[in-house]
Amino acid sequence: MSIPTRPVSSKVLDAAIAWQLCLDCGQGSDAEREEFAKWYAASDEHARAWMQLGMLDQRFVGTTGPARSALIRSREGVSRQMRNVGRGVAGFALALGLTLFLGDRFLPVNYWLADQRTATGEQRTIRLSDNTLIRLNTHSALDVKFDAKQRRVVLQEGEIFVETGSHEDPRPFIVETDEGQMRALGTKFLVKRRDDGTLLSVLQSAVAAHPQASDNELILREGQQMLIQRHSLGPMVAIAPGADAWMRGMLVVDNAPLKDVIAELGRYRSGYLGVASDVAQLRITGSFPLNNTDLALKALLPTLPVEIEQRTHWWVTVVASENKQTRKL
Amino acid sequence: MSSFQSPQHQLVGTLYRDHRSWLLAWLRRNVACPHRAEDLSQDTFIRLLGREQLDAPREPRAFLVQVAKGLLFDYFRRAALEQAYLNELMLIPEAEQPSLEAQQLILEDLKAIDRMLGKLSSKARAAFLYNRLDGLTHAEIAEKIGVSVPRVRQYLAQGMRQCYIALYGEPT
Repeated sequence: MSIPTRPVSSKVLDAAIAWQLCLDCGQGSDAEREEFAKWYAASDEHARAWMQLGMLDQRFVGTTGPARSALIRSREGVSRQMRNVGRGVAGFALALGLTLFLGDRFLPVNYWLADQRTATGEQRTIRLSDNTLIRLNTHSALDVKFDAKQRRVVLQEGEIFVETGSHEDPRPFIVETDEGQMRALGTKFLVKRRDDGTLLSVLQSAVAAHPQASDNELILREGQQMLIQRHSLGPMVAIAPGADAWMRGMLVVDNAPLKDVIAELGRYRSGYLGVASDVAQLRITGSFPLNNTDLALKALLPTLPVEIEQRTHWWVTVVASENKQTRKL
Repeated sequence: MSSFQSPQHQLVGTLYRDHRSWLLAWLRRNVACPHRAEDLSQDTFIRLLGREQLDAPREPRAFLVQVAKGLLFDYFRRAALEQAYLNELMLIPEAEQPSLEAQQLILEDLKAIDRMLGKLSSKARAAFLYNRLDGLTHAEIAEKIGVSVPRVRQYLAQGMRQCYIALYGEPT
């Protein structure tokens, strides 16, 4: 049976919609059903409106799986993107990568409410009672232990950016990890927990670093970086470019082994993300959005002879691409 | 030739001559792809030609930006939909992915639905999609998007009306 496409009157359309909502909500009583049957039979126009409304669902029949999710998700970010228009944020992909971080939450936190945590993929900025600003990167945990003598922050896990607040506060500001202590000398710096130690990168002024199990102390100046281990301080080197790019939602790497890039991206997503050993040492330069690691992984494809093996969303491995390899040979 | 042009065509012609390169530069700052910026600047003037009425704007550049923003929004929406679909495809095994042609057809279909829902607020849109695509009840949707059940019904009614109009035209 073909459905007449001629529109009904506004009043009839409203009635049909009201009936659909009523019957759809699952509480349609027998009395209501009877009432509906009467309404439906009362005029051709009623019946037509009802059938036309019923046809709407036909439009959505094919929209399952990826298509469904895409439709539901596609609006995320678009309005934020529009807000950037006119501010000269060039580049659609770039804007996409940054958007997540524009709607920053900014939590004022009292130091006695210690134990700050971020989930995987989350970043958050907190302000301590002395006005110090701390930004926690993905999957990080922090205890705030201020007392009369010192302002101490213990980084249990992950990575933070610190911008110390009041310079009048006489108490020293110290970041502590299992490996060492870092005393801020009025400054901005990054502290990152790694498997092999604590990485300190000084972005402004200076920080005094000393290992937990040694009296050695060294002062790092702006632009310097050092790995702190329990018994020793590593060599002072220049900060890697892009060390603080995560605060802008990007991972920036310069000629880095693929395995490092994958390990870094893995910090921002749940589940397993691995790389096959035969491609682990390939070198890569570029920047990748951290809020969308799927997109970041996809960005590897054009530049490297790799492909992405995805068993489930939670199990992803980067492997050598057969096609591209043969082409190379 | 010009004697046959309507005042509207002349006005658009003047805007085009005086501000096209400025508008293009503005668009280039906001769109990564230079070809796309070029298209959007052309589309902006074409849209003006299609207007039933057009008065000489007091602030021509602000006016052009306003029109261009509308087009940019549509473009972002389409691009976001396409990107979202590609991202979702990445999540399923390659063997289960539809062929490239099928993907194109699905995308066209998605864009049509997206256009159909174009005027809904983002909450109304979400409510309607959860209802149609996932079959969620009114109470479940209310919980999910954080509004009352009567409000969900309002959203669903808006959605149905919107789709109805897109498919059959304005009710009489």
